[in-house]
Amino acid sequence: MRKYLDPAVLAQLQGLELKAKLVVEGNLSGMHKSPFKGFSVEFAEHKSYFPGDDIRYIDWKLYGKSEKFFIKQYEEDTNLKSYLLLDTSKSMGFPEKSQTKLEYSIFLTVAMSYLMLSQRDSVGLLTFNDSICDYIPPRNEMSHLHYIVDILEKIKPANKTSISHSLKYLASKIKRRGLIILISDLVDDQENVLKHLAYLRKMKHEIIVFHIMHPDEVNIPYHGTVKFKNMENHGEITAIPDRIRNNYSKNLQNFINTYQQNCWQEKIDYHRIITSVPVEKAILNYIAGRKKV
Amino acid sequence: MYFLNLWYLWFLPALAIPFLLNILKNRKIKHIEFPYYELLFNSKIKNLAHFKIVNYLLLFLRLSIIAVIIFFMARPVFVTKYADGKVIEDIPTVFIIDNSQSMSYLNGSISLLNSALVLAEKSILSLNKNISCALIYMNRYGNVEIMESYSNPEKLLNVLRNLKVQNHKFDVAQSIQMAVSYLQAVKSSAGKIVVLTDNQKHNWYEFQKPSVDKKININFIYPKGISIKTAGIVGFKFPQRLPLRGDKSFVAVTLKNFSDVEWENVNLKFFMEDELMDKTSVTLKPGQVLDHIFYYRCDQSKKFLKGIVKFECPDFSIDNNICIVFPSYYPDDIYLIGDNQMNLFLKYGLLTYIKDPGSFINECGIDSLGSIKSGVIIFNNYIDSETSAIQLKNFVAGGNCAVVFYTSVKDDKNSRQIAVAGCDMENPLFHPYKQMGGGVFSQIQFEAGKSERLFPELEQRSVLMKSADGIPFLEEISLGKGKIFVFYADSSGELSNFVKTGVFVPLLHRIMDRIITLRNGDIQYYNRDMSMGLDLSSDSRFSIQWITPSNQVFSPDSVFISGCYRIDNLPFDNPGFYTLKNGSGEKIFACNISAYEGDMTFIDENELTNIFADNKVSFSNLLENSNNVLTQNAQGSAIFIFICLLLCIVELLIANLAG
Repeated sequence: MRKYLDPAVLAQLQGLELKAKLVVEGNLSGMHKSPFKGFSVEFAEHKSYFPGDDIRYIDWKLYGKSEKFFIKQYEEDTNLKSYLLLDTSKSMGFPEKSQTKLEYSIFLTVAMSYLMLSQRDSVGLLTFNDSICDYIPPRNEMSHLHYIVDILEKIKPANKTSISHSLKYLASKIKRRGLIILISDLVDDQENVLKHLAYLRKMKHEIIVFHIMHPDEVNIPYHGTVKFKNMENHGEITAIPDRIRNNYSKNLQNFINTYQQNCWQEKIDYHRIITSVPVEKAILNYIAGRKKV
Repeated sequence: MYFLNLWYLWFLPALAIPFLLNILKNRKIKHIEFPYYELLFNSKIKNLAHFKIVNYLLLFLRLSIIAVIIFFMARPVFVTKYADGKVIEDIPTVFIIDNSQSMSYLNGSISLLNSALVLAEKSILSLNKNISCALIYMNRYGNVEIMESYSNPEKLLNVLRNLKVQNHKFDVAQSIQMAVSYLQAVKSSAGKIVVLTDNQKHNWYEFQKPSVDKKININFIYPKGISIKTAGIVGFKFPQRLPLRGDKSFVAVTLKNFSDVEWENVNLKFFMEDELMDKTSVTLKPGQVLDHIFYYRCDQSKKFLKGIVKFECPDFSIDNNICIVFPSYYPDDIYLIGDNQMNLFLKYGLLTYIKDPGSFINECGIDSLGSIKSGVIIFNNYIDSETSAIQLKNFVAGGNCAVVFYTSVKDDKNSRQIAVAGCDMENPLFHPYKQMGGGVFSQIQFEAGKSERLFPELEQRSVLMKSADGIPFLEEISLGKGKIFVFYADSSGELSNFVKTGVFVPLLHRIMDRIITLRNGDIQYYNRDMSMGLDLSSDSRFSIQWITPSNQVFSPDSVFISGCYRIDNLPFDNPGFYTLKNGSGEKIFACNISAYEGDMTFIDENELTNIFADNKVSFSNLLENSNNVLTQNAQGSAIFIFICLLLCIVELLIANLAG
């Protein structure tokens, strides 16, 4: 069994629909509203004609061969191109001794990919740290999922985070409007990240930001004297967590609030996920939240 | 400076503990790689340098706490100046401390003893600890004891801290003699004796000057400038037991006013068992001596009674309740039958038994034997007639007792001198000798011939003392209601050395006790020798209860000493009427007799200088010492606790607030 293709998780996501809140560019004849009609319709199968069926879809060639009326049926989805941006920087390797944020994020990526693909949407993947690690253009075949998983299984946390760089890269790659899903702990220059997100938003892309946090990052549940080392840069501080917990919580809350407010202003979907929440539950929570909007 | 408990410095390696803990703590610091480092960094109140400083400060404080504890436990001594500002000479010194009752005299709020102790402590601390030094004081039994420092002054300081006033007269002569012996023993070319005393005249009565080496200096430190006029003496003049004679018992009290003021209408009361028996009012001029006899009726059923003479003089500052506790016996008339010359040892033996025997001891010839109806007969004549034997038997059978010195070997040419080899230790007569063993009687020798016994026809008899081959020396013969104690020796000392030995008088006294108590029924206990009356096992552990007059109960356990179990020392602290009980409830009354203080006026300095004319004698004032607290005891401890507490508080504050 493949590490990140957990059937239990994927089974939970069956039947769910990810609604794009905004109109996205693409051949939409199904769930997604599209400004383009009668484009990119893909043949699926034939069925016998019954009175009342639209005669425009009668396959006349087949009638010529068989002298029977058959109606052509088409696939009606796959008009949304989504891009999953996965942060693989060193900070995503936290914590060392249990499930890391990166492992959790990979689960989340796979689950989201499956969800999108099951809706006939195209899914692309971009992994990055301070540079672009892998880029897979979007495709809508289910077999694409295995390709994505192959890539994800090889990822190891390394290097610094440069979200802005990855966003810039993606902007240069995307020709049409699409859905961009950023999965990261956002340990980066906050101003820069927000600036590039806003830029992409101006390009009419829909953006979802999954802010991945480990509970220990929220609570710093350490006691005694602790030497904290910077994961992505040089520097260390010795502190007694009990003494600094309050200040840290305030600072963290400010950090999150800044993201929340700016994302809200730019109509970016910001969603914070604590890794103690199971992946499927986190996705369900998110989608439930989206439906309410 | 030197340390009294130098070995405590062996704990100095304990200073490594904080270091090790610090290293362990540093090792225990968790290292965590944290993503939101910037947020943490902005949250930190203090920087790392601050953290390190605090850490080192805490380490320093913890080291200081341990160092202070070790330092104070090692008891540092800083050589100080003597009371008069001079550093004491480095010569062997003996401190004699008078801890008699009069030293409890309060000068202001400080007792003389306390002043003496403080001064002694100061002086001991100022000595080089390698100098031979000793302390002489009086223990609770009134005996003078010496404690040597053996280069550890702490031993002496401990004695000083626990030294209490004792109800005994302080023996200056013995103390000085002991000090001289000590100084001679340490073989020093020079020595010093420091006597801290109130220098009362009575301490010097009957003083026999010991031979004191010329090189020994004597320093008397006494309370100059005060006049202890409020103390005096209450003495007693009576036999060592309270005699009951008919309904008239008496105790004679001798009073002497040693002060230089007149005692006017001072109440003198005599209590027996807390019941006022008699009282009087007396007036005494300075130096006057007055005898007074209290008469009272005493319950004859009581064999031990507590009597108190209360001297109600408002000026008295020392305890003026003198407790007297003696067994009260109804004294029988004693008839010495025989030749006066042969009575000599017996008479003087009995004189020490009853100090005023005039009315009790009767010397008479053998002709008077038939006319004696009651009392005690001590027969020292040859019973050479049938009449005498019958008269003696009739006398005893009537419920009386007799002591007979009998020997049948006068004309026996085959007789030989043999020694007493043992005695019946279970007999109450010999209880005092239990601890000494039967060997104490081996010094007695007597003539043994045909071994003819007195009244061989009487069967109820038991041998109390005998020779190695079983020849009896002392027999107890029961006849009717009475008893005859037969010594197979003469009372003149010709055929036996018995009356000339040291065991004669005590044994005679015990036989008299036995006889007197037999008159009122067979009593179980004697208190003459304290603790001898209880039936206590000597071959297995036992415990007793010692109950003080204030009903405090002590339970001294027996200890195994010299081959038997016994109580080594009983807690004789204060005069009073004590009860001694063993586990089964058997009890004995015991007394602790109050000692008395004598003439409270100071002995003249010239007189002392004359006594020790060959020596350099100096005098200092005990009251010049301004410091009245035993430093090591009170101030030292207070400083120590204060410093420790302070360091601990600072450590806690820093550890909790400076993070």
